Amino acid sequence: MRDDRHLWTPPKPLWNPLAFKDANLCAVTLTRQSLISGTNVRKADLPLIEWPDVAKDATYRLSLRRDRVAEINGDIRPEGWNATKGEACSDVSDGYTVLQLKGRAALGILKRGTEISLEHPSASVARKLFGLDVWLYRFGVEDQFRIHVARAYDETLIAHLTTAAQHR
Amino acid sequence: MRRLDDKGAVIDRAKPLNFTFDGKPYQGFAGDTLASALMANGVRIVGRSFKYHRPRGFWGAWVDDPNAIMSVTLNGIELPNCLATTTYLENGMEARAVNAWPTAKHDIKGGLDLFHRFLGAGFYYKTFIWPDWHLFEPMIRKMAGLGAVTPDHLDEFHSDQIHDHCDTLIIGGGASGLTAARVAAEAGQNVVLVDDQAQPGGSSYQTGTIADTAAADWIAAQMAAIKTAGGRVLHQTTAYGVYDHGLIACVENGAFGTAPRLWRIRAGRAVLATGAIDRPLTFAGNDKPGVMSLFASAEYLVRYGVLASDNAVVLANHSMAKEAVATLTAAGMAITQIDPDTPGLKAGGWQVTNGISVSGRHHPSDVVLATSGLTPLVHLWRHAGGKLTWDDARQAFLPDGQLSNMQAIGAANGTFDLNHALDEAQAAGLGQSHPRQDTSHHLTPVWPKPGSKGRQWIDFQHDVTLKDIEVAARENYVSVEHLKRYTTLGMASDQGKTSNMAGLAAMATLKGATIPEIGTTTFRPPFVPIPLEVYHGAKTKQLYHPVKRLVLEARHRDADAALCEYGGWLRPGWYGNGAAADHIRDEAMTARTTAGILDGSPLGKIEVMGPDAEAFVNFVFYNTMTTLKPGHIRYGFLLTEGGIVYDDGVVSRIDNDRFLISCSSSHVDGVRSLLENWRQDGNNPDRIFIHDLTMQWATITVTGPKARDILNGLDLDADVSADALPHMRFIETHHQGHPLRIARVSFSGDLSFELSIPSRHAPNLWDKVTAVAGTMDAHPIGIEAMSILRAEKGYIMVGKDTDGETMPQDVGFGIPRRKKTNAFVGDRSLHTDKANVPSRKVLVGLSVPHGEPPLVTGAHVVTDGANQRSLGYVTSSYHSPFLSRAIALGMIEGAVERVGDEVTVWHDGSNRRARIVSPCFLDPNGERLHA
Repeated sequence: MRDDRHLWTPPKPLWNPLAFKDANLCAVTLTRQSLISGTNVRKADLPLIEWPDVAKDATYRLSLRRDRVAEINGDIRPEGWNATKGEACSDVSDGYTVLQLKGRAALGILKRGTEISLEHPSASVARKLFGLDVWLYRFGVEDQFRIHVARAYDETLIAHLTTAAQHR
Repeated sequence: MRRLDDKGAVIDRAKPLNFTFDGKPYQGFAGDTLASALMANGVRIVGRSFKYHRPRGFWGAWVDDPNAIMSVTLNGIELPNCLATTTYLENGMEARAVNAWPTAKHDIKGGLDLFHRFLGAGFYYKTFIWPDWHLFEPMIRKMAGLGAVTPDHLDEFHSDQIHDHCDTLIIGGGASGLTAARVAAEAGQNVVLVDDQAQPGGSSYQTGTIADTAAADWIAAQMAAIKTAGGRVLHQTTAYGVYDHGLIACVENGAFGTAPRLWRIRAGRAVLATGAIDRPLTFAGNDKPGVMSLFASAEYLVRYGVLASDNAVVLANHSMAKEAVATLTAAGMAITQIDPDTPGLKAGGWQVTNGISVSGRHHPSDVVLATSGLTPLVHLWRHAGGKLTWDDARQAFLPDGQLSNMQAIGAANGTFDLNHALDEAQAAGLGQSHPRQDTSHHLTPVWPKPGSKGRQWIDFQHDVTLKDIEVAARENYVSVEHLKRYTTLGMASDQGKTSNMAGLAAMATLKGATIPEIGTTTFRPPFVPIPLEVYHGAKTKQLYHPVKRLVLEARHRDADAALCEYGGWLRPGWYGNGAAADHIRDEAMTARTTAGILDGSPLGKIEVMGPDAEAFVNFVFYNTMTTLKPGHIRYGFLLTEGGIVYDDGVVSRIDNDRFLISCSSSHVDGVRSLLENWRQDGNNPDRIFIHDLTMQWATITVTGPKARDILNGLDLDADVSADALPHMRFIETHHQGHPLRIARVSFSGDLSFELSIPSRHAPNLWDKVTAVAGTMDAHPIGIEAMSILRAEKGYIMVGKDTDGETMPQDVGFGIPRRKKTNAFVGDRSLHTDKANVPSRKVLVGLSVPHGEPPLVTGAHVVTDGANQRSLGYVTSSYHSPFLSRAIALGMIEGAVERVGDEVTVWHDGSNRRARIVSPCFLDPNGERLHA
């Protein structure tokens, strides 16, 4: 094999926010991310966030597919199969890096990587962004977006967002 | 050719711009294209044809020009193959014709035309077949092609790519497009109008007035209304392709030297208002500079204020020419009109035309303005799947029927009458259909006349003449697709915009068929040439094929790791600078004598949960999993339906209804998809759930005789003794309060533990493990050392030691197919005749005498004798530092029966001898493994 260490930029600390023109990007630390699958997972009491909903609460559920949600900042849950509830639960807090993109230019930056439009709703927040599997939704305010991306690809996503921001 | 003071709607005379062409300085104005500026300066020869190097002048005024192709340099940036008619002039531009040297006017290869009799269609197919095409190939390839790409890399040439949506996408900013966009926007629709020119209007400037308003004012009013109503306008933007589900690709050009921007627009509906282009007439000498499109000549006048000549001969076969003739006449051009159907027409002159000769009479003129009708630009209609119909009155293919998401209007729809076109546009703006009206124009068909005298050009750029079409017909290349490829008709950079209709008509005549019976070639994107940069955008360098990054990468870099890509992950291959082989050898030796620490985080960690989890895992795995108890681990294969080994890994049963599948690092995405597919196919998806937790958990493997000592040094609250945690068992515990899974599995053949911990805590655990290991002379190892260790034990890597035909019995796992009673994926295929032939390639070891170097991976094991035949090949080969000898694994036909035999191993012309042995070179009784 070939030593390619010099071809790849060493990872940078994610807590360093990046300022773009009319937008900024930072990493967010969440208390917990739980992946929950089951036939009734969409019927919980927590707000269920689809696209283009704005998550306003501290704890909420992301709609991923008909039988899967991601619970954000929820209670600690036993992992594995819960026969009573008919749910499979896994802690994925360490599996996904969460980025927050905020600003007037944020939606335009995201449009560089995905077909996205506030006028086109989706029952799922899961989508491809720059070819990467992400969960993308709005949080807090209209122009603030949260992006959950597999940890191993967070550097790639940050690079894509940075490049996209430069094109504006 | 001269510039008129009172014409030129789009140029700014207050902004003169200097430029050069073929080294000679000229001046133009802001708003000029290179072409209009050259015309204004009287330049008539602007390029050379592809094959004969014939002089070429301007035919068209926009994308339909096949002739004026240039390399342009500005501020140190050189771009090849710029079309002069669509390249906007900037100060300091240096343009050169691409297919000429030293200049377009004096081209050293111009003499090639003298040999034209020998260079007709298909000449090189026939000429260079003997003695060998490859003898001539280098020279021909050197001569072929247009332009040259500069070796300089443009670091800042990055295309922006953006996705967008709209209700209505209007393609084309002529009178029809502007009207449709205005009406749609005023009706409250989300409208995007794309127009490929800097100043919209299309050919509207030629009309003088629209709706009793001066054309320029009318255009400005439409634009203002569109914007006021919330419509968006993209200037210099060409819609070049229609793709699935209404995706329309548009490219937006900016200043010279900047990369174009790609717009991927998903439109609710598209309105095609792309207009029509002028068709050349086919007559002798019709390729000479000075023979140009009548409508292009009018366009140069009204947009740029350039009069092509003070005198001209007009050859026109339709009434639509009247308006253009009137416009040119009013500007001072003296025009002689000649019926283009007159036999014996010939353009006179040597390099450039000096008029038309007909019936022995010469009509002198500087330019010959020709038109044989309008060809609607229906490319995007065809991309979208629309049909075409032939219209006799217009002698053109027109959009036929309706598409659900596209509507053609105006000249693109064959509606050449402006008032009809505006009615059509009004309806289209509101999403209403509007029947095509009969045209008020009269056209007398004038098509190429095979057999007529003189060299008559069909394709100006590629030098396809009427004679070439005749040759193709004679040699039975009569299918329109064959005709194209045999003669290169329509292969020019304009992709047949100007040549196809004449070529089809000529073939129709030759075959005694009609033009629609001949048909058209396939319309494919892109409509105009697009730089490759547009397609990849940001996906270059590290973003071209991004690797997955380890949570411990910083630790590995600190430890001087050589990082390599393994299965999509950037992982340590070995540690240390200098000779890699030395480091790898040391690491492999350390792992056998003390212990090696491997970052195994990419190993798949996919959980299967639910009431049917056990049955499901048993179904997807070749090995029986129903007997696996909680806390136990079992090795197994995932097969394709064809019985081929797709992946191997270990399955841990965490609970009765919860399994953890640890698959190969490089196969995680594939295995997850495979599991999901089977979950939803033939199983009850409401009773099985699959979570891929590979990123959640980092895994640190400790392997070697001192592995247990290292774990004992971590202060874990778990008993990892051989009795408490034997091979193929796992326990769940904690490290510093965080969940920790310890799996007693081994890929090295030695005592091994895989420690899995939530990723964020992995650095702490790594630090602790390596610190403890360091006290025992153990240290981190890379993938290369692990590859040696596993080969010593005879453990396979799927994809390296297996291929697309390997079944589990070929690698020593034959029992489940004989004994497993439950159905499993691939079961039937394992019982076919092919799966049971004795000559199947099976996994064996290959041993070479001590002291000899390793065999070459990929070398073939061959039969002895004169006619060597491959019996298989070496799949893995290493020097084992622990065994002090070369070892190898191979897949060889019927080798189980041949253990102990000597075989010949061939590679690159040389033979070596090796002995077939068991694939397990180390610890065959498992004492180290079970320590």
